[in-house]
Amino acid sequence: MDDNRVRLEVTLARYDHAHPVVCGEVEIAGVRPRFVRPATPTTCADLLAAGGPDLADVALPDYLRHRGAGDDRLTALPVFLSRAFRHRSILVHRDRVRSAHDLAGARVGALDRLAPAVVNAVGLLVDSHGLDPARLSWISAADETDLAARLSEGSIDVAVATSPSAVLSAAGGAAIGPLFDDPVSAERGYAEKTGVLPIERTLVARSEVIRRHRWLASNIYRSFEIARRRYFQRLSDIRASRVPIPGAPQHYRALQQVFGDDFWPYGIAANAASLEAALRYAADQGIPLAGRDVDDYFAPVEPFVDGS
Amino acid sequence: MTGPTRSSRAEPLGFTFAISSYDHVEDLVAGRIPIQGADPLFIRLPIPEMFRRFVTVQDWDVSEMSFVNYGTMRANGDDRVIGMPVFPSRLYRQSAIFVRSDRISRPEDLRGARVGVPAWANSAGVWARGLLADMHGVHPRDVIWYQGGIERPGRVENVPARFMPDDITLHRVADRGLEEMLWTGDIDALILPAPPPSLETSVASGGLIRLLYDDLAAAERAYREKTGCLPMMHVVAVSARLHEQDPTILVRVYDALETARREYFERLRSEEISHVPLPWHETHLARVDAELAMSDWAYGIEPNRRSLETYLRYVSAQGLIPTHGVRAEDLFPEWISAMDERSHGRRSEERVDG
Repeated sequence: MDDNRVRLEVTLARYDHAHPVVCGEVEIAGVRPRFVRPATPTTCADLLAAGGPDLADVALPDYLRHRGAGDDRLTALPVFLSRAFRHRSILVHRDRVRSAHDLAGARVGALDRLAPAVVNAVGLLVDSHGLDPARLSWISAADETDLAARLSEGSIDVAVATSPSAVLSAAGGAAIGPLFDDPVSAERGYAEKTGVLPIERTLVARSEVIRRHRWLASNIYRSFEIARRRYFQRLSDIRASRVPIPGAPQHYRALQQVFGDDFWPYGIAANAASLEAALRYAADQGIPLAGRDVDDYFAPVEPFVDGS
Repeated sequence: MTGPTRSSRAEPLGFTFAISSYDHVEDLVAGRIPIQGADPLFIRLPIPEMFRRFVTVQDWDVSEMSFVNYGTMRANGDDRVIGMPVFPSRLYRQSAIFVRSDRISRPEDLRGARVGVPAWANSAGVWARGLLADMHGVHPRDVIWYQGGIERPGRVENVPARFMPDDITLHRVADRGLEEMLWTGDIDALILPAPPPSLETSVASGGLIRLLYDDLAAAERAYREKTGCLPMMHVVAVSARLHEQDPTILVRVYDALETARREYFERLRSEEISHVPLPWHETHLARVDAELAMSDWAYGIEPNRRSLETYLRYVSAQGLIPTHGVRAEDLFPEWISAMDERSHGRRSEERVDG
């Protein structure tokens, strides 16, 4: 009998917590996937292009904007592959800006207003520091060197960068630095207070593929969830250091103390705070939305059932 | 003049390569990172079987193996295996010491205690005995040692210890399992890298068997600060058989493993995408790197000199290698030679090309 499994073209960055699916150790039931690791991060436009993949990880703001424009050719799955704290991404000239209060009506420099790092960084300033997003003006910069130069000369008040270290290298001086004296400490405080681990990239599928097979979204979700659990088991393996970070099991335990046992969950319910924050940040920054109901953005998936 | 890496061979060199699953090795096993001029067949088996079959009969050509087994074999004059300074697994072995909480409250209580190990020449045991001496003054001669099977009796050593000092007491147990002896109180502690379920459950539920250290993070940090070591448990080696066929394979396998390692750390440092789902790993790593004499899981001899010298000090005190004269370079002479030849070859090529 021919292999009549559903063929799925998947373009996915390298995620250690998804690798078991990519290398075939964890199958997607009913599916024969082909995985491609892209040279640059995939966009919604890549998914929609002729010959584009069926499934990919894309930036959450990119996906929200497509849905906000009324385009429902793409459907996200609640598999949150890339997440990051972005207090460290907010850079200022320290002689001119001492605290978030100095940023009222600021000129914000960024390479891409829709980059998840930018949306999450500005979002936390609005949420936690009362910045009025309507009063901000946005200046587009060409690259990190440009951002550093603009901060130095004062043509922007704050730079929000995906790669703050590249901006700091270009600036090469003590005057340009993070807004927060201790960004990691500020991030920890934010995490403890809000329960948010900001989402940056999520799995997105072409809607017609998901619609064609009623079981497909749940099967994909299940496989990624198994891979995710395996990662954290590997992290704590005392037989051998699967993850080459000295003291990794102890760091993991420390993270659980801040977040609870499961700090990188998939699914909508477990991510209510982070998803609501994502919609709020997008709305505040003028990204059009398809409503404020989180469920509307994701393919429904059956809850993971453990056991064999 | 052509250098040794320019092969006249038309066909890639086929060989078997057994290695366990590691995030810093996976892309090599998945075929994304090639080994120059080679067509490897990767074999994945559970670690104990993989190790035993390579050490005893070299069932595959290239293998991950116990670092302590490797060093001991070479010290015994057994050169069937030829290592390279690649250490896929490195762990602090404070987590390997399981004690009866009714007998042992602090490390010093291990003086005069009866402690079981699955093998004397076992990496977890060597580093645990070393740290007990370095951190708490509890030396191997202060403890009564028992070696045997853990869950079932009858385990024998893969590699013999030929240099045992007279003052170390080691009993070989043939008729009972050491796990059972711990529960019945015939021994007071066990040192082993992979605890059987009864021990794991007891530790997790605060039962009779506990870890020696309540605060592993603090104990590991103290050890790092004192010794600057990241203890290597495993190493990668090539069979003499393959090495005879092609001595340059040592360097080519090394290069591919090094590429996989380097790419892992490039991904880890990405500010654009979280390739690794661990918030604040940079902060954790920065702190650890400040305490260590090396960083980024470095391969090679020079970056690992501290850890290698500590390893040599431990195994010579524990009767696994001669007490004097063994240096870090003596562990990997063929690799050093192959690397030297490769760089001379390159320099000659540059001279020829002018």
